[in-house]
Amino acid sequence: MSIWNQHPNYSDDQLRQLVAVCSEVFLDSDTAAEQFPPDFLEISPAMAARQLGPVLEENGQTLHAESVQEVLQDPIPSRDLCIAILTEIKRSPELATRVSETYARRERKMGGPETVLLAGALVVLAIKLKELRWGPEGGRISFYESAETVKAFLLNLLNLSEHPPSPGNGK
Amino acid sequence: MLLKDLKVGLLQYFIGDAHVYATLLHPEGTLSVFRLLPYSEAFFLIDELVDSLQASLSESHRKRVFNRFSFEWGKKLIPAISEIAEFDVILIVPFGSLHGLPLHAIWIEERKQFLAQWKGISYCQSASLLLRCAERNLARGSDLNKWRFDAHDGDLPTNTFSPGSCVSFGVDVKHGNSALYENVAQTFARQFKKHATLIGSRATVKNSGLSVDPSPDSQWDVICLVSHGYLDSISPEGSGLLLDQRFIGVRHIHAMGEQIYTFRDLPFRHVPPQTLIDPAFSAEILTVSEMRVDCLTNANLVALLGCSTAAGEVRTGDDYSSLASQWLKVGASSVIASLWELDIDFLNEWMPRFLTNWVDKGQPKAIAVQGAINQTLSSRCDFQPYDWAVLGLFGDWV
Repeated sequence: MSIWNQHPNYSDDQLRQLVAVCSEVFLDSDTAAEQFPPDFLEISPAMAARQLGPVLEENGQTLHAESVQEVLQDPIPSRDLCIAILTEIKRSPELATRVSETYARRERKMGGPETVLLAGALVVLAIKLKELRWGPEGGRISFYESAETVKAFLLNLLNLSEHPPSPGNGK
Repeated sequence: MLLKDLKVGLLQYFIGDAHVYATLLHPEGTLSVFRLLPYSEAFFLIDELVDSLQASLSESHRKRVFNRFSFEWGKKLIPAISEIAEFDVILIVPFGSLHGLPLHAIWIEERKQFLAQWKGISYCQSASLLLRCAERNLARGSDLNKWRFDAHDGDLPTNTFSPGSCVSFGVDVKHGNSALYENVAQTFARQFKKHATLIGSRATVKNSGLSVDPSPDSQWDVICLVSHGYLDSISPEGSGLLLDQRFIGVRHIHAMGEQIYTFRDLPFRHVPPQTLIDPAFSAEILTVSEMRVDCLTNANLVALLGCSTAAGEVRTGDDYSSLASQWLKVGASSVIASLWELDIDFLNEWMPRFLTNWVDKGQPKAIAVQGAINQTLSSRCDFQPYDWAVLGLFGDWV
């Protein structure tokens, strides 16, 4: 049974593992190897926020890195953000298959490194990598539209956090 | 083949003024000394390998770093091939940062095979511990001159010692797939004439034979524990096996005089919060620290089939602290344990082959491990060194 059958109702453990696996699949692509160091998965939310700032400000908005960091660290919006990214990944059959196979292999390990929710790493990879390719025979996947969808979702979360709803005016 | 015809060498490492050195002790007593690579080069490479194995979140990255060790620089850590060619078994005593390195995964270009395929290998953290493991090994109580084993040459095995009893226990406290882990444990145990797989209320430390006062029917030649391993990179003494609380049970600690104190778990070690446990279990960790308190065993072999059960840290006096070495210290003659994350698919390929070689063919453990690796790689060419070199033999090689 594929982990995608659980979408979007993952347990905390499943979500952590799946986000880690997705990040690893992204990072293993040739395009990621050109842009990111091999230990990128260990990036902190603060560092991820600084990487995302310039990309998110392409739309002309001014964003504080602290706001981005807060979203990445807050359990609720970071979970929502990860689910949104997983939804986009699930749309691509080839990418989804890579992820589910890697997830199934990870389940067969009798232990392994413990991890927190790698929201920062996954968000940066999902937004910055417009295309994924794995070797000359490994295929090529366009992630451009999905990356834009993820960026819009994150901007929406940030707009909500930077401009909280104003209290009712009594009418 | 006769055991007495095997040639065994002791490869012991130390750090000199600027280089890594190794000594090779021959059976006749001659000693060769080899100057290996500069430690300014060695330690950087070793740190990168150990960091990736224990901490990297990317399996692909771990495999890339591991392959560089196996196929590129690892050979600088062993003497020239001509120096070790004569040996059938090599006992390796590392030093300092070399503890925990999978030297058996080094590719020998001249032989077109890995060191573990070419030689029987066993590790021990010190020569004195190796000596104690050999002294307490009941297999050595038999006449070693008459020990004949089947080296895949049709020889009928004849040795007075044969591991006859095994107790095993399997549990998956993280994902609830205990049936899978129990099956591995049962498959392991069934290879022996007398066997028991501890399930339910019988799954206790006391029944496993690991105790100051084990119950009378708990003297086992072989102990097999199948569970998730936990490696605490900050406090390695807190590393161990994730087991069900019922297994750990209570500990009766003898104080001065006749006083006995009962503890539920000593020393206390909570399961880390980021380790999510299946709600059906109350999990505990059988830690290295815990095994320092009133633990004894007389098992000939302990199989710690979980992740990173042989990974650890160098303490003062070059004492390497890991779960595997702790089992040797409390009385096991030999231990099979994993140096990083263990894949259950590989285990299911390798384990039956090792047990057939050791139990049915009467091979000494190091030769049985060597054979199992060769047989597994012959049938599964998709296994990379990172996949198959995970398990190592520690302690006595017989």
